[in-house]
Amino acid sequence: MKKYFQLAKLTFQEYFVYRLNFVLWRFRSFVFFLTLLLFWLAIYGDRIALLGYERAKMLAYVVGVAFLRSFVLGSRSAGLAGQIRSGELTKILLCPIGMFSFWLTRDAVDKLLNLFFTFIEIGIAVSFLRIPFYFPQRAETYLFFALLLVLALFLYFFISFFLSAFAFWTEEIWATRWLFGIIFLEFFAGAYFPIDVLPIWLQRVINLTPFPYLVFFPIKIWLEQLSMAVAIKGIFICFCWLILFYWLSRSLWQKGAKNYGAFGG
Amino acid sequence: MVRSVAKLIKIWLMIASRAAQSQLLSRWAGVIFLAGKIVRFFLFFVFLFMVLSSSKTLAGYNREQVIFFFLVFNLVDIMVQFLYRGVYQFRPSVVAGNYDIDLLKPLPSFFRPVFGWADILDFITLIPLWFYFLWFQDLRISSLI
Repeated sequence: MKKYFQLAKLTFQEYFVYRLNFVLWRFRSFVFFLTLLLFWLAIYGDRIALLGYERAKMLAYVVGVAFLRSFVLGSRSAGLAGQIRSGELTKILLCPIGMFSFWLTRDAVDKLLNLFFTFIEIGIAVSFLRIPFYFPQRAETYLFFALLLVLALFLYFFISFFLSAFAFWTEEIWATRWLFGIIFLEFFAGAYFPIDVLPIWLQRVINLTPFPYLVFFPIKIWLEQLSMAVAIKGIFICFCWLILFYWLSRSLWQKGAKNYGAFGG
Repeated sequence: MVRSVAKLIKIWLMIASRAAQSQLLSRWAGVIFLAGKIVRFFLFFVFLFMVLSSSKTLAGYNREQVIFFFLVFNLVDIMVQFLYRGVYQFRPSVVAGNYDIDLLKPLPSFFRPVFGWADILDFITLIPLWFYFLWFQDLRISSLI
């Protein structure tokens, strides 16, 4: 446990090596959040409800996206692909640490740091723009939300790990990650807009993927727009996806690690 | 002045040609990137249509104006990415020390960081987008006459 604590400490220090980089990264996230917020405020104008969402609920959706982007979609495991290609992975393989634990520790630091700054940024935007925020009325909503949040966090970690592990076999890992880990992920997760504003046929296609359980479903639970039965069903499906991606990433990692070779200095 | 600009254009064409060859080496990656760009464009388009179908206007703009705005944004965005994709490689180049090699070349110091990589995939995306933009404009003008 001590070594993982040490690793967390080192990861934390890494962020402050290039401080301007970190500040610009946070600024970029803040601008994204603010743009999305102002976009929806402009669309709503004087309207109270649109596309099946009350104004307060849509703004809560946008704030929820900012929070889940930091907590669920913030990850360092994308770096695994680069390490495999460059041969840097050898260093970690020689250390007495588990690969999943290594990246989970780094992810945890990344999430905590991003979360801390996201709360400040959201606080500033919400207080300046005087946004009415929606809080759930039922106690079980908080429980379901927390449960799905934990599952989503691990699901994203294993999806990301799975995509990175392809680097054992292909040079073009960035293309795959860009399509599945950015384009499909952000649209299908509902990180730009709620999925249920799209046509029904497209919603059906999107619901066949694991992505909606990362952002869209947790926020829908928070907004209490799902019945208890649908919420439990969503949590169960997310759990199944998690098991599948855990198995896929583990198998891919084991196969890849057996083939792995790095030569030279 | 004219001669040095012509020289820079010639160098840029050489750099762009090599960048295109390098990108097209892996056709699979090219197909994935193109698919991603199309999916992104399509999903934003569907989303805008859904918003406009329920509200008729978007912040005071009607459907044609929103589509026009969206197309102009995409054209400018993709053209900029096509020309200046190399900017993304500048930081790693400086950190790795490879920028020193560029500085030894008889070129303006900003040339390689700014124009060092033209993205052929963005250029491929631009062609149908320009056609759609011109067709859409033609449609708008015809409806006004």
